[in-house]
Amino acid sequence: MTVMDADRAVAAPADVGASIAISNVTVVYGAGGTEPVTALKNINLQVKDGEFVSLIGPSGCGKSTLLKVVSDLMRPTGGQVTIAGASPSQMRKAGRLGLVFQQANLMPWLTIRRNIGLLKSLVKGHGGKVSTTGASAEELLDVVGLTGFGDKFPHQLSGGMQQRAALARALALDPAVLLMDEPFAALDEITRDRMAFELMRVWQQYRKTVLFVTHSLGEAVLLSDRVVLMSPRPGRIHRVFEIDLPRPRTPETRLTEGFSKLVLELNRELYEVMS
Amino acid sequence: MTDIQNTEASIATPAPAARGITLRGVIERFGPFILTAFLLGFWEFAVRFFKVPAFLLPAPSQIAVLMYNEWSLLQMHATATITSMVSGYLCAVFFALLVSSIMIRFPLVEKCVMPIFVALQSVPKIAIAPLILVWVGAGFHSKLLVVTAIAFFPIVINTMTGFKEVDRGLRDVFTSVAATERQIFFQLRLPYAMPYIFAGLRIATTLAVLGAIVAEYLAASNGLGYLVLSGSFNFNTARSFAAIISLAVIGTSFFWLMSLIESRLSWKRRASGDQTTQE
Repeated sequence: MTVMDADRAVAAPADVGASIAISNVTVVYGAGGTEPVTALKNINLQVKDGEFVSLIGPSGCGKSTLLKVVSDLMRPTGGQVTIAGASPSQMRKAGRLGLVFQQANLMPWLTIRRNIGLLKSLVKGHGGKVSTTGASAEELLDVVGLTGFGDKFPHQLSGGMQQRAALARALALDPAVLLMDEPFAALDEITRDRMAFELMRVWQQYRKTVLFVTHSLGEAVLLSDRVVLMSPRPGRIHRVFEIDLPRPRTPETRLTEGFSKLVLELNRELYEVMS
Repeated sequence: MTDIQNTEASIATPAPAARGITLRGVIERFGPFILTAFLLGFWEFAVRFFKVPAFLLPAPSQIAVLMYNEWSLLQMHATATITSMVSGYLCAVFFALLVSSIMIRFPLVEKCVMPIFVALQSVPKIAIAPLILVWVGAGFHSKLLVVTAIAFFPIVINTMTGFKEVDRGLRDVFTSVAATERQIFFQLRLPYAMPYIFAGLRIATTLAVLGAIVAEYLAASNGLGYLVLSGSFNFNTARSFAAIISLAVIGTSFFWLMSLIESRLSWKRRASGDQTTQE
């Protein structure tokens, strides 16, 4: 019964997007050992369909662990996650999770175009259903601003451009959700800033549900509908901030009083969490 | 994005260097050839001037004449050497790739076998060549076995290094869509390991030539190694030289052919800080 529901959810048209429900998720490292470490404790979080949610917090708060659980790279010790009604594992096998990592992780022997098409061909290759509504590699190159770079190899691109290609590769799957783990952390400040606006533009276009891990307060406020502040030892959700800044947000948004107030408040809370 | 293209284009066109033929330019380009010609000339001159007997050191011109006169003999022996060398090499490549694939698929096999390979790697394989001759007898088969034994190890060791060094991040990309073991092998491990595999293949070409010569030294009635040996026994030093030159040409061509195949099949590992290449 649940399996049937899950299957239907996986097959749901992608433009509907999907919601993420995290309920009572607990992760204990070295459970059963002499010194188990609780990385996450009773995490409850709902991400609405098409919503952009950032996870932020000091190191050790488990934000990356939480993202790993949602992307099925790690099994939680307790609790469960559902994405569009299915388990993360089902979604992963169906190729419906779009992951973007801190490193671009492009295959150095493939052209950018073939890198973008790689995941799709892998899913096809192991018998998964590939969404036909997804954009072609060529369209995606345009979307992420890499027009004309399809025949280049990764080493011929700058760090920021490589990360754009990684985003395009994730989008090529036409994923239900985008899960991004500090995707801009390895970039320099200026490129990083530009990438934030690029991501926002792409997000406006596709309206994917996004779960975004970052440690930049400004970035989180600028991009998100909600910012989830987590606290360490054990990792818990400390407070959720609603970001009601009007969209579309521009570089001017950062000059507004509303923006500064939110960042300041977030900053204050962060210090409270850390002390 | 256009601005990025523009900046790169401007970086790509440095101020054109002063053109024209300079002495420095000629030396940089043809230096090795000029030096070789000079040394050959000196050799020729010294042999003639000091009247060195031909069995001690023949003049380059004498070697050249001999190579011309005995071309069919050289060709026959070269064919024998190339045949055993190439077949031994191909055997080594086949078994090395097969064994590496099995080891990466079954980690337990690797745990048992790999330490033995690493230990054997440090044993000079040339030393066991006489034993192979005892077991198999003289002839084509023993040559093939010596070449296979000597070329096998560097390929296995390099291939395994490549297979195992696959970047964690790249693996995560494959995991994120639940790629199968088969997909991971053929679309991640194998292409990732290509530069490593070819490094092993290149080392193995040199070793294959060496293996063939040693086998021919030990017991053979044909091949360039045999020719070198028989030339020196008969004080026909020019013939030994002719055989050595043939071996050098064969070895270099083999290495060069491997590099050519590599440039077609493999990608190059580049440091992340490498400059953006323009085409």
